[in-house]
Amino acid sequence: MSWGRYIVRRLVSAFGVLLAVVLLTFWLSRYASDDPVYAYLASTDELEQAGSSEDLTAYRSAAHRLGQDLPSFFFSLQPSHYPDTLHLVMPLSRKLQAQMLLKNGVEWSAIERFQSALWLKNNRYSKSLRNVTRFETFGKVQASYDQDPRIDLSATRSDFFWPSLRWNGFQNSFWHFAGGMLDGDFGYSLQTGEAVSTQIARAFKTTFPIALLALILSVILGTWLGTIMAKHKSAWLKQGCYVLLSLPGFWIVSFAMTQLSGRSKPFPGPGWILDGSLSDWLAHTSLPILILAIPAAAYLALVMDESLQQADRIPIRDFARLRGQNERRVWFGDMYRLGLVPSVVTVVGLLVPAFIGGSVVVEYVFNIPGLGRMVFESILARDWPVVLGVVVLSSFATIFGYILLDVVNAALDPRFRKLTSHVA
Amino acid sequence: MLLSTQHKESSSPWAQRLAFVWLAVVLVAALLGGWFIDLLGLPEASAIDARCMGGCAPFQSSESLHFLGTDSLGRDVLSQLIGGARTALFGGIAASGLSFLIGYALGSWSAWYSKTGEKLSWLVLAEAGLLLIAFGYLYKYDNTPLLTIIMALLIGGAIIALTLRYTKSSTFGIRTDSMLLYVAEVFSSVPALLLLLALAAMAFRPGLIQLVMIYVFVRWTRFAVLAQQEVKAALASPYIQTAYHAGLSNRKVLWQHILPNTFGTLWVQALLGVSAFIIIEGTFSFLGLGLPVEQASWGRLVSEARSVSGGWWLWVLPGLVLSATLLSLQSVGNSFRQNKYS
Repeated sequence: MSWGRYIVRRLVSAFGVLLAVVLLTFWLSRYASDDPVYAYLASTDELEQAGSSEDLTAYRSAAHRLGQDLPSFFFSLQPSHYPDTLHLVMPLSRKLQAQMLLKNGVEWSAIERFQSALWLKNNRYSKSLRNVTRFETFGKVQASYDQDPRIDLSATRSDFFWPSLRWNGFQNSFWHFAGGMLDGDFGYSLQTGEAVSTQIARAFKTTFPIALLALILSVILGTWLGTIMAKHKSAWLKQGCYVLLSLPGFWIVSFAMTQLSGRSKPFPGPGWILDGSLSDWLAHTSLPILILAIPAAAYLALVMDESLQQADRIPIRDFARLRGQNERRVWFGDMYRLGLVPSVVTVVGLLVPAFIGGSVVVEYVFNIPGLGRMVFESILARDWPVVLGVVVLSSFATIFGYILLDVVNAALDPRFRKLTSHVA
Repeated sequence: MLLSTQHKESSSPWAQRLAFVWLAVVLVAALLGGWFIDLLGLPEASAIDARCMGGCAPFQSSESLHFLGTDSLGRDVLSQLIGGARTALFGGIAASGLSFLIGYALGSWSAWYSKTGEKLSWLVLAEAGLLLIAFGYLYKYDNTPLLTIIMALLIGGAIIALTLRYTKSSTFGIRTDSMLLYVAEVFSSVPALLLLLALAAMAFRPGLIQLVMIYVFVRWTRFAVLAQQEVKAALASPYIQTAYHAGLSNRKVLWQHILPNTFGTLWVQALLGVSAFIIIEGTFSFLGLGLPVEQASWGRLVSEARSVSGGWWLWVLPGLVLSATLLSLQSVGNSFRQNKYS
């Protein structure tokens, strides 16, 4: 297989992996959300107007905008007594109640009569509606029915069990979600009502310079330390790097935050009120950058040391000396080329996703309004569109980062033109 | 900060002995911690000392003496450290052990099945997919599941076993080792902490068991890939060829040579997995997403340092205990690895 064909194959498989990630996240978010339409309405202040009227016009239009009034996937597999249009039952709590009753074998017509008689009377369109029937049981519903004997809830059908498969076409939630992503539309935040892509772009602008500086610093520091380690075979430095790497990140952050930052300490306290000048920005970000960079540098130094020692086993160094090159040329011309390419490029590729993950703790503690903090807050607020957007985008970046890594490595070092996988 | 560290360097024998002793201490604290707390007359880990609201320093006089002080809610730090040992160690062993078992089984199977280039028929995969859909259907729509599910499991398993039996050298299929690598690539392409956080927030009530399950869900692929690599390396090594030439059956080669020889390297990885769980549990508790408040956790103790101003005892000791445990796990893992190869 030629190198070009290999790249094409990698791209195709990357597309498959990405599709799997989108499917996984979509499925998880379906399981985990409260009523997203309600949350969206609450964020855009349309709830006040909607709350006063008993019809669901505002709710329905918001659900349409979010793609929540569609069947969830291309096909659906349901018991044959389920109605085709269950996805049109709104709000979500009413749909969940209907599903629960259907699961207990109640006929659809009976459910319709029951819900139209009791729903609006018992459940006004209010905040309490959110979790009304999420975990309601059949017995509880039947108890409320007992006061109204017009409806027969216990009528069950004999063919209740048999499934029927139905094709929904492209008008489904998943396609709305995934197709929107292809257009760069990640939906709307349930917290602020803002477009997710705008929010991510803004947070990224805060995170990017910090991560970039941390990356540069860790590469410089790591290469330097790694060279010292390899040149002098310093066991103490090595043990120190191991210890530094074993310390949990949140402990380092906590230490730095309580002991190093604040009044009359080397760094300003956490907070993100900047006056816009570069020096102020540096004062506020230097500690987070150091926290991100130092363990990464230790890691890089260890990897670097190991590959330099491997390079040392090849007689190239002795040969260069025999040719009369000076020590500096030997290190920069030969050793680094052999040591840097495999280690530094690969580790830098691995560090980028690690910085995204690591920045959650750092940004949380130092109140930096970046990507990590945004994800963390969205997770706490169950703002799934934002979380999904970041997850999908960062896996996209990771996958294509790996492919780029392969290409760069292969361009720098012919030994990498073997076909390797980056898993594990 | 969730980088995996792989030491190949030896540490001095004294450091290793110290690591063993420390791990033994943590293990004893985890097993007999409740008894120690009773014996020394310490307050319970979740007991709140109303006089120490806002945090007492060590030995500060209060109703009951707190040797290591209290956190901002007035809970004793020493008892929480002892209780946290239980959470960290038991949770870590359960999480890492479970993902190790799943990963080892699937990884070694995938390498073993495709060892001569045989492929898993698409038919088997289609059957497995149908079975999965059937289970999803039963779970979602059926109200009397247990017997039906057992029946479906038996029938589906029998069908898959039969298909496996008769379609073994099929060319119409996929190699199991590359299939596993695809699955692992999906998991490894999402930043781990992000995925873990999202899953933890989705969990209905985050507790230790949920945390363990989430960890297993995210981490089993690493063990699987490692197991696959190890089994493949073992299969390519001369002693397996020798074993085959000596006339050993497939079964004997697998159970007497490959699995025992690959287990050694992999369980060291499981040991490192324990420390990964401890870091993750600590990070979650630190972020306030983790375990319920009754459950003592080292991570929460460290996070308390931010709410008690000047509370050095809240970050020094829990941090030292945590770091010592992590370092000891690494060191012990290394010592086992060295024994194997030296």
